[in-house]
Amino acid sequence: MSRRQQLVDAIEARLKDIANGVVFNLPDGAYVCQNNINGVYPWRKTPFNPNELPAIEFWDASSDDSPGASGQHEHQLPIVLQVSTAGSQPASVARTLMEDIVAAIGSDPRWGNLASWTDITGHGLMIEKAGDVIAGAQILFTVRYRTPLWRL
Amino acid sequence: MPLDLDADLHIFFQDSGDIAQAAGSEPFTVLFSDGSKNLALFDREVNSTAPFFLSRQSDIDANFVENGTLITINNQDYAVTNVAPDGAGLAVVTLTNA
Repeated sequence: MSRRQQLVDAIEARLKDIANGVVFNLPDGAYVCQNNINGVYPWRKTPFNPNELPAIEFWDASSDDSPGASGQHEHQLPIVLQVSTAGSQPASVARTLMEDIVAAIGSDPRWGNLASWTDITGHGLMIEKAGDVIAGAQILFTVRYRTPLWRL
Repeated sequence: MPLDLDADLHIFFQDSGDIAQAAGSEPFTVLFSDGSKNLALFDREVNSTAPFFLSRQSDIDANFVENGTLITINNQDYAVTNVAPDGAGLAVVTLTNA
């Protein structure tokens, strides 16, 4: 299994740990999650129904690679993560979901020693309204990792 | 004799089975639709609906329907998000689930 696949599996597993009351240990102390997540989906193909929310989908984008030291490849793998939520106050809920997700990432930015580090590179929020009011929050992060030459 | 346009419009609504009632107001007949609509958020979509009704502007005025009004249609509660008069005696009222 490629390191890239292992990382995607590790990210999915970590995000599935998010639940109301779960504690993530961060450098500045314990962080207590504020939300439950109904599902985590890498590369989901179909739109969500509002009754599935809040839910997370993420996908691994195009990696920026370079030759590393000692005959290794260094990879910078961008991950695009989106969490959606519905309800009467979805924006405030989405902000707390973003905080939960970033804390989950920060609890081990090396993903069990699969990566050298993870950088949060951006986050945003938007709301759309029709029959339902839906908030979507996007978190962008990059996982830096090394592999032997000619391995991903 | 002047044309009674509002009465003529009533013909199109009187047989509708869709009854709207704003809080504290009288019920009035509308033509209601609740089709599907996907909401695009960043790179992904969420299924939703696009409820709206068509009614006489006179009913809108008489029942003080405006943005934010809570209204019940066919026993389902909605909030009005937009009232768009067509200038010819009708109005399109868009809704969100309350």
